[in-house]
Amino acid sequence: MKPPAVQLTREITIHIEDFITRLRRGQVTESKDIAVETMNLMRHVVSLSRWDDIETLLEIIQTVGRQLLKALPRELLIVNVLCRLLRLVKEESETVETLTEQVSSRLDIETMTIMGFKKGILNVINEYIVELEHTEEDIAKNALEYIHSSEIVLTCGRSLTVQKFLLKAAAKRKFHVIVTECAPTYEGHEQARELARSPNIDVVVIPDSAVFAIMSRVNKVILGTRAVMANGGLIASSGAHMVAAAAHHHSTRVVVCAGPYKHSPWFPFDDDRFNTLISPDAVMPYREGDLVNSVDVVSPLYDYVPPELVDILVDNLGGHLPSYLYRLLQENYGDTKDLPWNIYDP
Amino acid sequence: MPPFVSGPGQRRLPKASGNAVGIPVHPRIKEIGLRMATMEISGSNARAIAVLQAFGDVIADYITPPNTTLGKHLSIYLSPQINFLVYQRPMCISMANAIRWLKGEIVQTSHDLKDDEAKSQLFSKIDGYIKERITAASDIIAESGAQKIQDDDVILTYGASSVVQKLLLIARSKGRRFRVIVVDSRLENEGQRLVRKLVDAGFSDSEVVYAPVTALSFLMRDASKVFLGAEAFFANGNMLSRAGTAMVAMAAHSYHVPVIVTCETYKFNERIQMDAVVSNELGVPDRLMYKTNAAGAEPVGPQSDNNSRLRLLNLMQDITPPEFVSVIITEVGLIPTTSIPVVLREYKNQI
Repeated sequence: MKPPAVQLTREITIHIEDFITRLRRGQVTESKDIAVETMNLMRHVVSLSRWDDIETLLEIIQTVGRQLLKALPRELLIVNVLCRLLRLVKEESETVETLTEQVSSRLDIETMTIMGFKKGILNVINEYIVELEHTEEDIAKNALEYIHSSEIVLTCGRSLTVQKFLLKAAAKRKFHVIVTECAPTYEGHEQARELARSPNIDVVVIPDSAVFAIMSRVNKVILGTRAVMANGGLIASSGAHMVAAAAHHHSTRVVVCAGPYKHSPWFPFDDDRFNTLISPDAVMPYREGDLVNSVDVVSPLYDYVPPELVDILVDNLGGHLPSYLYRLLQENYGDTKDLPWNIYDP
Repeated sequence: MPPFVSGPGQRRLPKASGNAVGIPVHPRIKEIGLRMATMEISGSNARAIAVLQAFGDVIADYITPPNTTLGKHLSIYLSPQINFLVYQRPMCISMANAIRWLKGEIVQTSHDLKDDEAKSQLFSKIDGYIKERITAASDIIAESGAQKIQDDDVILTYGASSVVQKLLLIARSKGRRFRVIVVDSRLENEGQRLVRKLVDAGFSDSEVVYAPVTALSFLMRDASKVFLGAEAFFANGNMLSRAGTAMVAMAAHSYHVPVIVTCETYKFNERIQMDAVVSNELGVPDRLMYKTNAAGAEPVGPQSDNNSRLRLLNLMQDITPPEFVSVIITEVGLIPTTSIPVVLREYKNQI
């Protein structure tokens, strides 16, 4: 039974609606930015709303989460971050309870605890935001373990995490990187330009159709992703599935770099549930006129990569097998059945 | 990075040497060479036919010099023509096979024949080759392949193969109701030509789907059959074709969709090529910075500062391993990839 929704103040509702609009308009697209902005929003919510006990706070978070999920049902990053927040709040309240039990003789303990508790929660949120902002650097610390001299590494399109990962390795080692250009967004070109800034990386840009052809010379594939589902499958940018499958055929290892805020506690029951189709203009320009009318032009944004094709998941704690993911999810989010949201039923 | 067959701008016209010094390049050869370089003539069959017909004209204008015979000298006369064509665009295997056959026929011309008779014999042989092994062969293949399409099929194809196009149109004219998914790749965007032909033949908008190659896993779930065209087959069963074909075949294989390849027997080759890197055709690399191959196309992003560490590689060909191909439709029947050396041997024995 869902607890009755808490009435949110007008100020908070304005913040929430502003956030939703910015995301819908595409003003925030980078994964880390979405995560950090969600946490900033929650910091406002927690500090501006009136709550006196842990249950009210949890209800407030659940209500906000439900609104966000209804408005942006396919944005997994928001729900992941909120699940983590719930877990942090519950852990903080457990710590405070144990402390309160020890110091039960003080008179105005109640007011002190509430003030202290609020400060504690805000501290926890601030720490989490700092952790989010440093995710890519923490992941990049593992780079030297995975990339060695003169290796030929293949990456797909553009990912900030992978970019920092490769640049960190390039500080000490010389290697080659092949980047697929990822039409129709052509984001691979931008990634290539950034990587070529390092004097130790030789970058080659190839069209997506040449991936299988070049794969026999590739030593390692390093991918970024939008989200990692509970079974270890990825929701990554379009084209990643074919790259991973070609690597699998050539027995080349696939390493996926993803921060813990991308780990989602739900299983993907449907390959297309979290996919969108973007404008077909880049595939077949509207200039073609009559042809565009007579043909169905399909341009998906994401790809589902099954977990069998992923060899290692690298996050800020290091590398893990996809089969170990359930353990990380349990630590970060607690039991999935305790989560108040369901991405399949917003 | 491994060396590839050099792309345009890097090739050098080899200097004529030995007996071939001083032989001019025939204007017909110049014409088709340039048309091939600008991709006006593209596709294995079109190029092979164009080359054979051009050589027919070259032979027509040829005059045997004194003290030698047509059979001995004509091949030498043809080499600078061939070099010019290779300089414009590396030969595809179908062209190479056709030219090798033609040289074989020239060498076998009897010395007793006068020039006119020898030439008309060669003309009829060239016509016969084009008719039997290219045109009629592709018609037979298209008919045979069209029988494989049933109502409610979802056919996925890649790029634009002339035979696959014929096949789809024949099936349509026989009244089959089916959907076609055309997957296309960058720069050439040949798939758009196929889409246009399909729309002109009456396919409605719910029956044709067009998508880039990155959408493969999204679309392969719906496909029931995959039809592909090949540029050549090697003796070990490896298939040479447009870059991206291997990915389509791999995706089809993983989703258990049958892959049917159409290939005329004249494209079978005795060579063995292990992977797509040992030799490949390179397109102009700088074109990758633009959205299409057409003149005046938009650039994909801000022009990059000249960085020698950033290179563009425009691979045009692909090798598909034989385990991804279910069956090859040829004019001599439906064969598995393991029967290719058998077919090659049969044709060699016929000569």
